[in-house]
Amino acid sequence: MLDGVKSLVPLAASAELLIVAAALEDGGPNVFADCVALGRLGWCALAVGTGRAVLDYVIPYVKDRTAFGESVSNRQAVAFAVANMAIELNGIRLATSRAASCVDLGKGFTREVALARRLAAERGMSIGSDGVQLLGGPG
Amino acid sequence: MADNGKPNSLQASMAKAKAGRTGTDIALRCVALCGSVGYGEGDLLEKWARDAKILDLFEGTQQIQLLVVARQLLGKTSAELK
Repeated sequence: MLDGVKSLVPLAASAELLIVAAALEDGGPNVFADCVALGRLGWCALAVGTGRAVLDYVIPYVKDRTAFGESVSNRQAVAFAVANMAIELNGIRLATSRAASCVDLGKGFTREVALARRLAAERGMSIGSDGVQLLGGPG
Repeated sequence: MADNGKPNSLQASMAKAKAGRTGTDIALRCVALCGSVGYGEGDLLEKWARDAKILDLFEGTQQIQLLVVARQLLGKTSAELK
């Protein structure tokens, strides 16, 4: 579904987290809220994959790109941005994994999914924007 | 990782950076929510906010942790990235 050169998430084929929707029978009224939550969790997993793709692209680029006679990755302004992207990406990844394991264990997952979704929306966007910034014009 | 004897300096520095900034962020937002009660020295909230900040600074500030993380991610030595 997500294959192709201009696919939404190039790493979706190798995503770490897979969500399978449960059967609707005898689920009660909450089953739809749960379906929405599970959908959001899948979306968080996509955000993690996208963030990793950004980082995997940016790290070799900033090491290769030279300015003022040396690699731009020797500058703290660039190196710290990369470090912050990796730290926030791990934050999203851990929150998403925690929510997914609550689902797997059959525990309540509404709160965990909401936390993961907030983090993924906020930090995922900033990872992407920082990636574009570090790439400069080509980004 | 520490329990299993694996090298964990990258993960430890990431955890310290994230914990420090999130801890101070939450503490300062709680102070802001409580207004003058949060800022005054009559209650403990002001002390907790200072404690959160010192936990952020002790044993490596944000910038030191970022140096450790960035060196490992970019494969740089301490001479190249200082």
